[in-house]
Amino acid sequence: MILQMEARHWARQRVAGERYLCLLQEGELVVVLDRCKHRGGPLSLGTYDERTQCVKCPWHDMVNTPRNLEARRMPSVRVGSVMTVVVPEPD
Amino acid sequence: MLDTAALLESPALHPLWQHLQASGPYQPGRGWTLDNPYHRPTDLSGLSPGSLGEPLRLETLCTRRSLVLNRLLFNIYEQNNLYLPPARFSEQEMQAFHGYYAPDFVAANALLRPVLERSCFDFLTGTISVQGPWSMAHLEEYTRDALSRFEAAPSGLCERIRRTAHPDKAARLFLLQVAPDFLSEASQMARALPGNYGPVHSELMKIFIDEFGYGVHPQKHSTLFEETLTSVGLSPRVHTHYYWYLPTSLLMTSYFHWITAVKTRWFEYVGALYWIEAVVPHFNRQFSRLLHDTFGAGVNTGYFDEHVGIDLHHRRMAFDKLIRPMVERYGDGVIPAMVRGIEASRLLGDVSERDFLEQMDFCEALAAGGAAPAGPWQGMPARELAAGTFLEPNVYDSPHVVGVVKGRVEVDGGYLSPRVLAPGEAVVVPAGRMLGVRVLEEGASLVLEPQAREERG
Ligand code: FES
Ligand SMILES: [Fe+2]
Ligand SMILES: [Fe+2]
Repeated sequence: MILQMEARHWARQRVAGERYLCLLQEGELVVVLDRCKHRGGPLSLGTYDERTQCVKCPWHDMVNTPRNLEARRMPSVRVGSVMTVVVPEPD
Repeated sequence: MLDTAALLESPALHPLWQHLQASGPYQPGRGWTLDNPYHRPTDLSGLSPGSLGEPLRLETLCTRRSLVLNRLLFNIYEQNNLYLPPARFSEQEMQAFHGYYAPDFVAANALLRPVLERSCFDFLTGTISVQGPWSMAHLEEYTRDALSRFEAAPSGLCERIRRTAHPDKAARLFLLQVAPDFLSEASQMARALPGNYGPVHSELMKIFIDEFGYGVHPQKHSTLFEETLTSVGLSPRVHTHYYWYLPTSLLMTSYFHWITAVKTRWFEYVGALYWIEAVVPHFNRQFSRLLHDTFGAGVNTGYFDEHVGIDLHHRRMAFDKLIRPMVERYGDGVIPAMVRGIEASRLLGDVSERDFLEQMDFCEALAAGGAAPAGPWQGMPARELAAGTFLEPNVYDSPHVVGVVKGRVEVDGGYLSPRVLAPGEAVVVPAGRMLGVRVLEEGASLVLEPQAREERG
């Protein structure tokens, strides 16, 4: 399905049972599934390290690297301040 | 100050005590397993309100009185836990459900709680004494040392189980001893959650969501434990094996209820929680391997494997996110309570391990056809018991002879495979050990007497 959200670092969007997070990676805004690589903790409630561009999860403090976040990216297109994302159909 | 123990002795409260003694949930069962979690056989006949306050000591933890007091206290705490049957209530279940959770019954039990807590946990106060100027650095050094010593040695319990003739039965007996805790895992932690106590409140919540599987039922730790039980042929029904919970297994479970129910024990709870989370990975890794080696590919060790991983996080979280910030906020003065919690949970762990191993040895002897009396017993007084008579599993304070003069009886110590005694056969229950008896077929003439002094080997 198609999701529209604000194109802004740390904008969050919830669809059915899933959460998505917009964040900066290498100067570009991308959208990732808001789930930690470890046990699915809410990355959007974690902390972002501007230098390394890693996100530390609030549940067990595991660091999700750009590589990890890459694996959680959603197809997205930004037009101005609007981000359009293609996400899986909620079941 | 109000002393509920003294109040209980006043004649005006006799009806309350009589009500408890006669209450449905506490009546004896009729067989080895219990049909529903609302039935909690607790033999209050030998007790009076005035006798409840006599504290247990380290040396009297494995006694009949300890068993009764611990069953009672455990059942009282568990009135805070909701259990539902797996399917539509039978009429009997519905009645028992309303009986166990009846507000007046709960209130009557609650009045006993302070005196029972004193009698069950007083020995901890006397046995453990934390003194001197503890700082965070001391606590760090002390826990690091305790943990590295714990992890340096392989689990003696696992080794002992491996060396038995029936490691499968021994492992099951162990699973039964942790069932009072694991079947409702983290319910004590849930007790610690209501309220509003600052940032650590949210840190405890993070541990809690792991324990409860993030709202994904198959991931909930109690569900994982049920899967383990099922995979080794044990019923996952809550407390269906209630009869085999040893007094110290109940005590261990109740300890965590106590320190979460009594809010002033919060700092002790945090210490105790840290220690439990800390020791689990090392033990569970070995127990998981033991289950694999014993039961083969079909065993589900998910419960134990899950803890090998997640409790490494939990012990770090308990230390860095609970202990440390609280010491920063409230000062070094709260450290001794934390140390007390660590030592208390460690001591209770040791005590329940010993209790289990002794029971296991007794079960092994029973299974091997041993445990025979040292001398003649046939002259002892016998009583006639009708077929089906069930003498509930109980702890015997002194060695007792159980001998069959006529008929056949089965006896069990928790291996869930009773040994049948025919006429002329007898066993001895050692002091502090648990045994249940059921009369088979047409009834029996049974000796159940203290072993005479001179007959001791
Ligand atoms: S779920 Fe993110 S660190 Fe565990
Ligand atoms: Fe757990
Ligand atoms: Fe844990």
